[in-house]
Amino acid sequence: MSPSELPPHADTTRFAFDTVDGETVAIDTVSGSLMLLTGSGPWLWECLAAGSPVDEVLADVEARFGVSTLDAVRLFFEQLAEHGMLTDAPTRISGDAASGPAAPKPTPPEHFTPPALETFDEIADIIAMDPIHDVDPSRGWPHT
Amino acid sequence: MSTQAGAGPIPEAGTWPITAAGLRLDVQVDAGALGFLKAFERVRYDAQDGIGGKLEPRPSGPLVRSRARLRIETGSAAFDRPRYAGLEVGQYRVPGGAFVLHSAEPRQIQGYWPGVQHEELDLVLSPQARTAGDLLAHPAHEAMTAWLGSHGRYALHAAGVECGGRGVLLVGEGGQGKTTTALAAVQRGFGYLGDDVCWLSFGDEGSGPPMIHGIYATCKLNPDSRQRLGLDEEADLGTTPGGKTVHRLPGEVNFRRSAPLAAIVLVSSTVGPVGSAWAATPLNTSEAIRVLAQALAPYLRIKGPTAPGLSAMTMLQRQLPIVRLPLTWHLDALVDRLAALV
Repeated sequence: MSPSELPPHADTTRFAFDTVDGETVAIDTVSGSLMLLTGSGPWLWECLAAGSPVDEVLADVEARFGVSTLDAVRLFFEQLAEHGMLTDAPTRISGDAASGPAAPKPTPPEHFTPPALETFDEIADIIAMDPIHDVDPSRGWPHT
Repeated sequence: MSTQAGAGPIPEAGTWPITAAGLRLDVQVDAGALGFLKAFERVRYDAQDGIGGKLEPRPSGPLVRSRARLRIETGSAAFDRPRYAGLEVGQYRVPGGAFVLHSAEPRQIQGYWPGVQHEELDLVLSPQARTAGDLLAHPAHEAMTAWLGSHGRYALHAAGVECGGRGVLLVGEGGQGKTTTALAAVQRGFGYLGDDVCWLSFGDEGSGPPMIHGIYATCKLNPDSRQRLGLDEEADLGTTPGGKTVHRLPGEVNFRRSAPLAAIVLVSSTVGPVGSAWAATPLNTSEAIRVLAQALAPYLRIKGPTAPGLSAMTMLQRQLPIVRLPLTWHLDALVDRLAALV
């Protein structure tokens, strides 16, 4: 998938995230899947979460770290898209801050390391096996 | 350690206030539900002491005086209450934080209904449900999870013990030895917070150091653990569908309501010899995420996979050592290693 075909923005409405010791943990608030972003992944994700679209981040990476890094970054963005973490419409940064203007751009790493995305589906599997139905009070209890 | 109950006179039907993870809960039972009070007998609320029990440390911050009531009912009419009319078997979240569970085997309804003046929890039991081991061990666990989760208390699938005023969470998949390790520690002087269920909080503002809380004064044991721990065969409170016997916590066990959390230990069923080669080893990030997600599963399932649940995970990652501890049936050595972590 070329960068122009990718949804350009981070879906921070659906994915809450937090960064600990340079690694970012995100949770899909719909399915319950957890994601761990490592290497330069946290910085790339936070650039998207701060409002920069995919093509702008790619241009920034090339300018800072050279064209040889772009393949790894494109692959990472494709992985984000496959897991539903990118969206067409810009969303506000979630996690700790849910309102106000877009967050300032994150500090880039000193050196580029290939970004990686790891997923954990234990919670998602539990939720899928034992679902809880969201109820609309005006319509009474649903027929399950 | 015997399994003779020794926690006081048999209560009468009525209202029994308890302290649940620092919150007051009035437990109201009818005559058919008295057995369910046994799980709460170590957290009885005493207004004179503030949180009840003269030997317990206070949880961090002032006691939050939530007006919440848990009503445990065994009459069939309770199933026909208007708020549950038309309710099919299943689990439901209602906007505003309410949660309802209706299960068929055995038939029970649990509900949590938030409110401005009062919060209400329901546990409605069929005759079959009155003798269900899981329910007697952890009454209204799902409703309690929903209620406490609305007040910054996260339900954990974990055992909890305390040593020198500091708490340790024992985590891991079912059958890995959490309960056995916890009770071995308790037999050797540790305080007891729970064998399968604990609650986690981060101070009144939700951003302080982690605390763990115990509520249920019960334990569930498989035959092997019961034998190794030298416990009686007879179950006090019943058996679970999985074949575990449910026991009331013996009176001589030092039950702790709360303790500052000092470490998280993944109990590993890789059994090894006593020696330095089997010391506790730190988990890497991937392992820690998996472990924390499993531990927080009760909260995440009922309250949903939301930002607060993620924050609880990452706050634990930031603040605490998370280590793997291989089991050994040399229980003295195992408990010594646990004490060393604290």
